[in-house]
Amino acid sequence: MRYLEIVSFVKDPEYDWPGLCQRLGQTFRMTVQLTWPTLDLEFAYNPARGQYLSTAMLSKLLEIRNPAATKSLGITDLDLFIPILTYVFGEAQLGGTVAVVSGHRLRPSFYGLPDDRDLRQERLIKEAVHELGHTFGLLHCPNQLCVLASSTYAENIDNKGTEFCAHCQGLINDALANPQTWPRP
Amino acid sequence: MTFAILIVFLAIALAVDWQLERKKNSRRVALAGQMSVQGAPKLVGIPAADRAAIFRKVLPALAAREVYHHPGHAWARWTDDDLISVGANEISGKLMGALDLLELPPVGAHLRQGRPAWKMGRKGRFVEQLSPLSGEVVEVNQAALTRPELVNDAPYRRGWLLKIRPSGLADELENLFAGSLADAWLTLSKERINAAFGPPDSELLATAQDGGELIDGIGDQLSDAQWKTLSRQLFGGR
Ligand SMILES: [Zn+2]
Ligand SMILES: [Zn+2]
Repeated sequence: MRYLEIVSFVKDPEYDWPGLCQRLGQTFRMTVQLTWPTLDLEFAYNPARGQYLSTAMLSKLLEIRNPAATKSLGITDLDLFIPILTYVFGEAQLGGTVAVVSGHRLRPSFYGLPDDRDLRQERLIKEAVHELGHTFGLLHCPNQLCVLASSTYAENIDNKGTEFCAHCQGLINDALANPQTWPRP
Repeated sequence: MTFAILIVFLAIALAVDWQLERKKNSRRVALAGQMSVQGAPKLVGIPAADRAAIFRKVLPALAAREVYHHPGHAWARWTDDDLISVGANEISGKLMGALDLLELPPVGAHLRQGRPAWKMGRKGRFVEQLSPLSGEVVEVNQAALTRPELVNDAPYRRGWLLKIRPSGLADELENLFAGSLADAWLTLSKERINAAFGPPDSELLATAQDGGELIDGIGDQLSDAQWKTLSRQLFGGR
């Protein structure tokens, strides 16, 4: 049975976890299981940057994920980076099994704005769908309204939709219909 | 060789984009696409200066002073005085950060599109950037010479490098690109820079990231061998 594993490193009651699970389950047509491992993430910390290396988080996810899961999505509130970028909202293994999303820069309060639970939730959903899309092998989409459009700033996330465009939806449908093309866990 | 591959990439991007934009029936981009994909109309028998004027009329993007990019990551833009200002685009600046060396050709020098035009350097590493267009140098940005870091801080504004009187604009424009084509090209180039760092974990193979801007002087984090390969890919030349 195919299922999506959400590995949450954040026990934030402000997130609507059931809402997120339901949404991802609908989009990717699989059951969703939420886990809360106790894990020290300091291994990914880079003192020079004062941030956490998202690629290291992906490696760790590969290690700790349930091999029975179809895809595993890590969610953290730590500020993630990769060497060439000032920060990342998330990172995914292209055509692989693991992805990670950070809520750190999805909070309006990060930008000095009043916190907005709904906005933060919507951004989280968009980034989760986006990163999981990458794990199905999809690349960035030139359609700025598509959830797979790349986002440099939080405003870019707000400007795109929560759904795939017709083209990307077609690719997702193909991928879901052909599990033999998925990477073996 | 790698530069040739880049050109092929670009051609594919251009073709795809042209198809996309054509659907949207956007006159501006359709014109640009037509020029880029099918080659610029040659306007045989019309003097070069008039040809340039005609291009300015038929290509609103050029008149709107949009930034045009060359595959070697130099840019060109029409100026008020009917000259072309040229410089190094954001990729050049990001890769090298604040330059500590900038050598520009003197006023009167003749540049040729796709040939080395100026030299930029930082911490002993250099790039000879290829000229985006052919023409005669009529002005040199003294501010950039005294403060080379302007190239990274404001690549398309105060960090311009030269003003040139173009000599082959009508024919050469087809080798430049702007708008959504340029956006796609810049994204591709950033992905190329990222790839230069290699997968940090072979288990992961390829990954995709979202968010953030390129950090300044990213090239500092590359080994000499990585730098050599990447700068050749991005800037062409030797
Ligand atoms: Zn799409
Ligand atoms: Zn992405």
